[in-house]
Amino acid sequence: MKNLIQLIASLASVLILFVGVMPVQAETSKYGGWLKIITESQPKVFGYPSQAGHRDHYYMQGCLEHLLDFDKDGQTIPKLVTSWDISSDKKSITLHLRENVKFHDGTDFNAQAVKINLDIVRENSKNYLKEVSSIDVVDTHTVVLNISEYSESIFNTLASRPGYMISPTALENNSAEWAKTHPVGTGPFKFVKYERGVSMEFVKFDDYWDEGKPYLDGMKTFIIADKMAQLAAFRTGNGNMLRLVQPKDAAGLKEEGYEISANPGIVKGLAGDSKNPSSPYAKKKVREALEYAIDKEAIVNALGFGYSKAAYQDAFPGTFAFNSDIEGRRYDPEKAKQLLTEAGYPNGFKTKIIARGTLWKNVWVAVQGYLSDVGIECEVDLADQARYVDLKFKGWKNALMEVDIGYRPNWILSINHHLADRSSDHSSMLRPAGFDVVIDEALRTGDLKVHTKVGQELGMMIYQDATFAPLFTWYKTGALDRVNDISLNYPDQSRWYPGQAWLSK
Amino acid sequence: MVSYLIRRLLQAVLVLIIVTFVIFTLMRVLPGNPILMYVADDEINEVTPEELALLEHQFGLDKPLHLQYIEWISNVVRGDLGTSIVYRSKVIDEVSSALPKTLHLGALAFIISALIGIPAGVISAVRRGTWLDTIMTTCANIGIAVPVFWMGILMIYLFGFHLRWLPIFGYVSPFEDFWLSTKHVIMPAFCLATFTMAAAARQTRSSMLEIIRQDYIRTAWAKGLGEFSVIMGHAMKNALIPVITLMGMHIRIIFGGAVVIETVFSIPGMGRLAVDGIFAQDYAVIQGCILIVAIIVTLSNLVIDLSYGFLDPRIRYN
Repeated sequence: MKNLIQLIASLASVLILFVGVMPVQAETSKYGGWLKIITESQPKVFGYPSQAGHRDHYYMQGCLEHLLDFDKDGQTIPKLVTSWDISSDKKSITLHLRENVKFHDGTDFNAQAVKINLDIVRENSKNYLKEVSSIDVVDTHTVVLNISEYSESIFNTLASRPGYMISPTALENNSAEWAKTHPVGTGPFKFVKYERGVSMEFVKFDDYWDEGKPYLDGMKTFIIADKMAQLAAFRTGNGNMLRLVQPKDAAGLKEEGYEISANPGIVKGLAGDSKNPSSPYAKKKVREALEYAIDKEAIVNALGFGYSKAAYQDAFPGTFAFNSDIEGRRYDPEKAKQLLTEAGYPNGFKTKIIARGTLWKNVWVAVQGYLSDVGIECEVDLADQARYVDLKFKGWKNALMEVDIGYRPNWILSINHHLADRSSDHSSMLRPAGFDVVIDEALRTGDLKVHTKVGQELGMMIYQDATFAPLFTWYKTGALDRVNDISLNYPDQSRWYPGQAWLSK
Repeated sequence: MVSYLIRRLLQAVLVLIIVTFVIFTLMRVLPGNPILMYVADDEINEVTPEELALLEHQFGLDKPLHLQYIEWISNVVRGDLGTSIVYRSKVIDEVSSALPKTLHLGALAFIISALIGIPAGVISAVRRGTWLDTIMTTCANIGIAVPVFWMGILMIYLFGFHLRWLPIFGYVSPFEDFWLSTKHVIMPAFCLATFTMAAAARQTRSSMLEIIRQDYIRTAWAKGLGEFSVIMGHAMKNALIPVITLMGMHIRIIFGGAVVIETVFSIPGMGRLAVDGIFAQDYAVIQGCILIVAIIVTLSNLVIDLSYGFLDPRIRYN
C-alpha cells in the first residue's frame, strides 16, 4: 500500500513537473535566431521620418516606433503614447508617454524628444500635423498639442510614418542627412548597417521597454531586384520571409509547403479622363459601359491564383466601408454595347490604357480584349514609374489610367489619399459632387459608426458616378518559412511586427 | 608617340563631351518628371504646381537646357557629379561605392574571356576539322547567341538552386573575404564573359587560320620547330592584333552586360545604379554613370590602340 502511494505520488510529481515545465519550454523555445528577409526594393530614407516615403515605411519597422498604432479596424491604439485626452473645447490634445523607454543610443524617450520629433514633421511637411499650432512640454512624460482645428487625422499621423520617434541626441550629434540612413529609435531592434542595394542588418536591443521581447537575435534584409532570383534565394533557405510574392508564385510556394501570408493589398481599377468634356469618359454611360464590358470574374480566375477577387465597388470586402447595397455592374457585353450606342458611340472609339510597368501586363491585355469585343479599340501603354507618376499628377487625355486604392484598415484614409477631389492624384478623374465634404465629415471624428456610415456613402457616390471602374482586389502575399506571429502586411500594407516574431526551431 | 597620345586624348575629350551632351539632352526629352519621384509618395497628393516649380528651381531644372549642361559640366570638372534627386545624396559617393564592384566583376569577366576564349580559338584553328574544332565552334556560336540574362537565370537555377554550390545573390569585397567574394562573383562574371569569350574564340580561330597558311609559318615548320614554338612564337603574335582590337571593344559590352547581370544577381554596381537611375529618371545619377563608363571605355580603347605598337613593330604612331 505504501509503495502504491509512493508510486502515485511520484507519478503525480512527474505529471505536475511535466505540465509546469511544458509552457516554459514553449516560451523559451521562442528565443533566438536571425530573421532573414528577402525584399525587392531598396529604401531611400529610413531614419528621418519626415522625409521618408510610403515605401520606406516598411524598412523603418522594428527599429523605429510610432507614438500610436492601428488596430484591425484602423482605430488608433497606444504604443509609445499610453493614453491621451482631448480637451472639451477640442483645442488641445494631451499625450501621456510611456515611461522607462530608451532610444538605442541610451537617450531617454521623453516629452522633449516628442516635441523635437513632431516639430521636425511640422516644419518639413505640408501634409502632416498642419492642424497643430504649437507643442508644449508639460512634464517629462506629458506633451500637449495645441490645435487650430480638430481633426482625427492628427491621431492617424501619430500612428503613421511621421509619428515615428528618432533620438534627438543622435540627430544633434550628427545631421539630418546622416539620420536619413542611420535610424536610431526605441524599437526592439538596433540598426547595424545598410549596404545600398544589398542588405540591411538590425540586432536585438537589450534595453527594449517591452520586457521579454524581441525573441529574435536580429534580422537581416537582402535586397534582390530580380523576381526569379528572389524565389531561388528563398527556396534555397537564404531567407525566412519573402516580403512580396506574385499570386502565381504564391500559389506555387503554397503547394511546396510554405506558409503564405495574404492580407488586403489594393483595389485595382481604371479611371478615364472624365474631367475632360471632350473625352468619351466624360459621359457616364461610357463609364458604365466600360464596367459591363469587362469579365472581371474570368480575369481573376485566370490570373488571381486564389489571391484576388473581382471588385464591384471601391472598398475592400471586410472593411467597414464595404457597402453590401452596391450590386455592381456585372459582365454584360450586350448592355455595354447598348450604353455605348446611347452615349453616341455605336461603333465604339479608340483609346489607351496607361499602366504602371509590366507587372500586371496580362491583366491589361485581357481588358484590352474585352473592350475590343464591344468596339472600344485600345492600345496598352506600359509606362515606367516616372512617366506614370507624371501622368497621374498632370493628367491624361482620352485614356484610361491604372488606379490603385491602397488598403488601410481605416478606409476613409485610403479614399482621402487616393480619390479626394483636392488630391493631385489622378487629376483627370472626375469626382462626385460634394465628395470631399463627406470625407471631411468622417475625418473630424474617430467614431467607427460615423466612419462606417460615411465610408459606405462614399462608396455609393463613386459607384453611382462610375468615375472609377474597380476591377479586382488583390491580397498582398508574402511567403514565410518557420516564421511565427509576424503579422506581415497587417493591419496595413506597410506594417509588420518583427518585435513579436519568432522562429520555429 | 607623344603627339599621337595628346591627339588621342583630345579626341577622347571631344567624345566625352558629345556623349554627355547626348545623354543630357535625351534624359530631358523623355516624358516624366524626376521631381515627382523626389516628393514622398504620401505628399504627392497635396503638392501644388508652385511647390513643384520651387523644387525644380532648387535642383536647377528650371534653367534653359544649355545652361543646365554648362553648369553640370563645370561642376564635373571640379569633381562634383551633382546630387541624386531620388536618394538625395552626392552622385560621386554613389559612383565611388558602385564602381569598384563593377570593375571587379568586369575585370574578372575580361580575364575569363581572354583565358578561355583565345586558347579555345587557337586550338580550334590548329585542330581544324576535328571533333575538338566542332565542339568549340558550336560552343562559340551558342555563346554568341545566348542572351546574358537567360544565362544568368540558368546558372542561378543550376549552380545556386539545384546544386547549391554558389550563392545566388549579393556581393562581398575580395578584401573582406576573398574566397566568399570569388564564390559570389564567379557566376555573374562567367555570364558577362559568355559573349566576349565566344567572340574572342571565333576571332582567334579565324585569324589563326589565316596566319598559319602564311609562308613564314611554313618556313618555321620546315626549320623543324615544334608545334608550340610555331604557334606561340610565330603565329600567335600576329594573329592577336585583330583579337586585341575585339577585346578592347568588349570592354563596353561588359559594362553594358553589367546593367542586366547586376540586376539579376543583386550586385550594387554601376549597372544597377544606372538601372535604378533610369527607372526613377534620376538625371544626375544617369549622367554620372554614363560619364564614368564613357571615360573607362575611351581610355581602354586608347590603351588597346597603344598596345598595337608593341605587338607589331611595323605600326608607328607618327
